[in-house]
Amino acid sequence: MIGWTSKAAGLLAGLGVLAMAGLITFDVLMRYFLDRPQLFVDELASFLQVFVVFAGLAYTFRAGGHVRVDLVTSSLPRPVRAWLRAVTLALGLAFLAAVIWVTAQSGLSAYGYGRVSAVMLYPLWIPMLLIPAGLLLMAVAMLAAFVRQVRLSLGPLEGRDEAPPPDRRA
Amino acid sequence: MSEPVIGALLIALMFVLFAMGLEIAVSLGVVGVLGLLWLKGWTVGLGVVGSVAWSNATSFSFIAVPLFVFMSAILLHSGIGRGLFTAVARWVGFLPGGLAVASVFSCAIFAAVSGSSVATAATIGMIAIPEMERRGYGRPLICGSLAAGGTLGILIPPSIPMIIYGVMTETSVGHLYMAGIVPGVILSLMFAVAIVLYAVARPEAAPRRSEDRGSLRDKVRSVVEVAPVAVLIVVVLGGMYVGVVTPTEAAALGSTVSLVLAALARGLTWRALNRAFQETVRTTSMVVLIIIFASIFSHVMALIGAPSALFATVVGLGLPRWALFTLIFAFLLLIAYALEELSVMIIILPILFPLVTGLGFDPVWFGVIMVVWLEIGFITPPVGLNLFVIQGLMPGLSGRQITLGTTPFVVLMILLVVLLFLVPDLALWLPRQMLVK
Repeated sequence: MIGWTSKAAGLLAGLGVLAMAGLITFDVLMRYFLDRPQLFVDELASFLQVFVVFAGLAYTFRAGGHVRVDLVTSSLPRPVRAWLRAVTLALGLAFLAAVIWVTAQSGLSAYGYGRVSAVMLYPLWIPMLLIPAGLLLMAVAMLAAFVRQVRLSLGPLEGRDEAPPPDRRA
Repeated sequence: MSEPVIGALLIALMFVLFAMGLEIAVSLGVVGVLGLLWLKGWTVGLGVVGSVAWSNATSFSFIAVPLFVFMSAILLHSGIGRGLFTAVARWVGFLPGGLAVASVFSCAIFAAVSGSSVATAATIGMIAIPEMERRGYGRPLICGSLAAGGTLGILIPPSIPMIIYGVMTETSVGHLYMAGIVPGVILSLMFAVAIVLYAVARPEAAPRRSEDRGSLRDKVRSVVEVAPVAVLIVVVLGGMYVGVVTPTEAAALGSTVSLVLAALARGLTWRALNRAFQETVRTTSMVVLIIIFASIFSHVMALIGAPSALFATVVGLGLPRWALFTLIFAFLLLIAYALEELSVMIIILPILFPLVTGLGFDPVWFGVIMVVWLEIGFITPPVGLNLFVIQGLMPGLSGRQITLGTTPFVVLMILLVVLLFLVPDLALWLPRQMLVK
């Protein structure tokens, strides 16, 4: 379920990249050949960029794409490494919770003040709330990883190690 | 508690979190938020987090990052550019070590459409490695020439790290791109000369055959084969050079044209497109998340006054320029051993950049230096990004073969840094010639 949602969000983010490429190309062609720059493109592309970054977070997490340092942990005994990963995942969750709360607050206050964008006048709370939404999806994926890691750490001795990312690419 | 003590504690905590294996982005975030709470209190401190996340995520210049990653990924997975190696081999195959020279030169040409070191090594390596293995080239030579050749992808424009450097330090990405061209060509030539000399000294590592001498007809045909790449070079670099488009717009145009070329070459499968999406999203999410939390961290460091304190300390050493530069570069090489280099660049730029420019070094010039440093990091174990690609293409490659193969190229890269230090105009001359400043 989490895997499916993350992949779907990741795919949508990919389509977002395609849309950015198309929009900006359109803007350049209109400006260069017809001398009609499309001002809305800059705004929409920035909006899409927020979407690409944050919709892709959970997928990236499940693919093991967020860079970590394994120089130290790789030389630890396996059970120690297993528990250490549970600790770092818990720490990460607590941190994400705080950031989700803060960014949701700024999105909601933008809604309260009725803030709109400069050119298209679309309400700013929509892209602003994409940030906590994407982080929330990543937090859910992280929570699942945490549960899996604790189970593994309590499980049979020979299996105690750091759980690999569920969607690690080949 | 005094500010230097807070700063020291936060930096120590950052390294502890890194060592524990917490995601780099999250580690930076934890340290940054703790620092903000400490210095600014709950309300103001956390407010900063929201606004920094928003401003970085919506930066129009950063849009060039996903677009150039996407373009490189499309080229890689659709197979455009794979003909490059065969075409170049027809021209330089007659040289001693000709196929390794062809690898380097085709990487250099592909680098002019790819902003990624990994995509360059993978695209060219996919054809060049099996061909060289079939011909009995030594494994260290194969590994070294492609790993090192691939890194030209980030020195010769377009370049993803240069976008990040440019946006973070408010340096013109267009000028950075132009500044990478001459050093990129020099480095390619240095690689080629080294390969030829090595092949002359050790002919058994690069067996020669009569088929290496391509006929004139083959040479003419090779020009047609490289046409798609040539079109892209004109679109991406030409537009920026004459000032018609910004780097972000060049990236969008390049992506669109790549898609069209891939479709014409019947390489645009759903599988290729999907893999390109995945790589783009992974890289973008990872990089931008690090950038967001690194800028919160550097905000804290600025509040504490770390950059000016560092500057005062370094100037207080009273060393000549070359000694200071050597010290900084040695520090960079050391730190790259433990951490992934691109993350290191994002973390330390806010502190390092004011120091280096304060010492009188040119911002564009230093951008080129940072990229050459990244190149070195990408082919040095244990976390060399390009080495992972080459290992994937050459199963059973040993650590010893990697070290043997890449060390000479690392030496050449360091030599280039020395050259750039002695003659900064190697980088800075071309940006001055740009039509639009």
